[in-house]
Amino acid sequence: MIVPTDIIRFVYGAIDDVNGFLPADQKLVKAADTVLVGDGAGLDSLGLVTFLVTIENAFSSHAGISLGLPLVAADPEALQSMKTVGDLIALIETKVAR
Amino acid sequence: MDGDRHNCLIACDFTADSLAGLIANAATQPGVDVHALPPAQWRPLLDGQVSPSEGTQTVFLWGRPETLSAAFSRFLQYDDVAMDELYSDVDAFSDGVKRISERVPTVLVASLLIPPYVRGWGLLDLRNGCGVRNALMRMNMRLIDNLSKCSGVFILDASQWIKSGDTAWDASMWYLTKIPFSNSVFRLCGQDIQAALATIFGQTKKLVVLDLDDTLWGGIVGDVGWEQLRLGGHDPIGEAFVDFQKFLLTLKKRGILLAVVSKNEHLVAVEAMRRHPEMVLRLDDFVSLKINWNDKAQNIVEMLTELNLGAPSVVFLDDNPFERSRVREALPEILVPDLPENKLHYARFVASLSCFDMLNVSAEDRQRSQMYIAEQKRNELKRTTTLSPDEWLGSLNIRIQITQLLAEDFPRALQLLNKTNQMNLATRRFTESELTAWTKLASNRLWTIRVKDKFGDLGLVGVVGIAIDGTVARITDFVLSCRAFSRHVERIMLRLAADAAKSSGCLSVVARYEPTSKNKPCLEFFKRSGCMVVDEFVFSWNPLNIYPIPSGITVDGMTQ
Repeated sequence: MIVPTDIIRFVYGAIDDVNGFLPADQKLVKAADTVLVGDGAGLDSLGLVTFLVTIENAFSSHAGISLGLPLVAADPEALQSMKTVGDLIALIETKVAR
Repeated sequence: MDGDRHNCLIACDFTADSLAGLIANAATQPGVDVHALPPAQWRPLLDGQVSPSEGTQTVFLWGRPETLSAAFSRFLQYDDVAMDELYSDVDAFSDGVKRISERVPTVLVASLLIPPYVRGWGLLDLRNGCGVRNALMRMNMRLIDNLSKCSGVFILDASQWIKSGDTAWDASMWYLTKIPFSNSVFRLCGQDIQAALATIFGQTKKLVVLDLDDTLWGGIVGDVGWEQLRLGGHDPIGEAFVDFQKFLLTLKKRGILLAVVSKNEHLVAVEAMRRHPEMVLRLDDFVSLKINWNDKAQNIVEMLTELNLGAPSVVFLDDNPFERSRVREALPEILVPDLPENKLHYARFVASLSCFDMLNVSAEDRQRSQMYIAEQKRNELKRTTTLSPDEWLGSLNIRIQITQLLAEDFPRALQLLNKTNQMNLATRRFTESELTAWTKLASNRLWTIRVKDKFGDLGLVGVVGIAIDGTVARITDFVLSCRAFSRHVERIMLRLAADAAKSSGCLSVVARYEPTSKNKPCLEFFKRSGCMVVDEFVFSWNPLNIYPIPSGITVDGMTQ
């Protein structure tokens, strides 16, 4: 059973993970308004896929569920609904609820 | 490299920005810049059409066999491929590596890896002629053979990086980004590159300082007596301590010094070390014992003074978190790893530390412990002797062997040139190929200095290099290991340079001191040497005058 705090934990864990290879001045902040897509985004397309894969793997290994998150990075339309960390958490909540 | 930045280029046949970022963020050395080469430039780099940027000191190369070798790619599809075709592709890759190594001091090469998702051909996988892993092993051996004599080239075992098995390859990462490995692989790879950089930076640890109770053996010897210690026998804990001691002994054989700092009664602890039948390490395996009730940090400081070692070269192993914390706080430059709570894991844990990695192991490294023990005997005699300093030196029966650089001495000479800091006139650092090229010039000469006395053989401890320029012989290298200081070896080395200058028809021999933060002892020697002081850092001797050396020292090879 996934609860909202689990989702935040997995997303913030993935932020720690990608921050491991980002330069000091580009590290992501663990906050809902951190921009992921578009102007002001801290990640390039490669970083975004890595970030989403890390979250996907966390859900897969801890909860045994597949969210299909990495494919969102390849879908420009879907990306528009995931501009910030807060949007991403909301998207995951929807997918988990389904 | 003092004061310079160290530029490291990560060159892979795939996007390696994550790997470069991980290495840059984890760098423990100051001034390391890490850049990833765009994968489109991988092939031009190997072909020599693109060069590493100016000032690049280390290049890491990681190519996948299926892209390096079209034949291997076909082999993966079970096509009929002759081994010679695979070898030919490996040879071409090796040639590319060699070209790069001519331009940068250090090249690290990932061994060839089978794609993590390839299972191979099951029962046939190690069979000659058809097995994928069989072919890959042979390709790796070919690569190793091709590059083994290539100075500054080191092959890293990439198979260690895909230990995570299923998670080493991620379908999403591959199909969305064409990155063939997951971040867990990059983390392990990054750790190996970090370890390699630390070794290149000379951060290899030289001394392991050990506690005794519950570190080298199980139990408190002062409470239970040596007979009741848990060490060996039919006891899992006892066996684990024996394995731990065996690993420490292998470190000693590689030239790492061992010492003890323990809060115990000296006689009780020494009796245990001497009499316990399952002790792997014996008293003469340790270069220093500080067994008393004093503060451990203070004991270590005194030990380092006696051994003439710096805190950055030390690892401290102690089961007690309090003692670890105390040493960390008092001596922050010392590496103090947290030993596992479970003593069964001691050997595995210490074996996993990369701080003992070396670029090479010379005969001098292997004998280092005996050399330090002999030095302590000398110092003890010096403390108790009634002889004058010169009489005392005369009593040591010092014998110095001077030899023009021989091929078998080349690695040790290179090591001395690159690692000696204190008695070093110009602190010139070389790659193997640079030193080879320098010694081949007709104007240049390089000698090695070996020293022995009645206590033992100090080994190859010195290097003197001169360059003849018309009527002037410039001393380019004047390097002496600290363990041979203050035995008049420096004077013999200067005499060697003066005699060589004279035999080359020179009218002066000149030493130009290049100051660093550590080589003041060299300046002090030249100030006392009797040479003419040309300016603050330049000293000169007229070789027509015989440079005086003390009597009582036997010198072989001076006329070479």
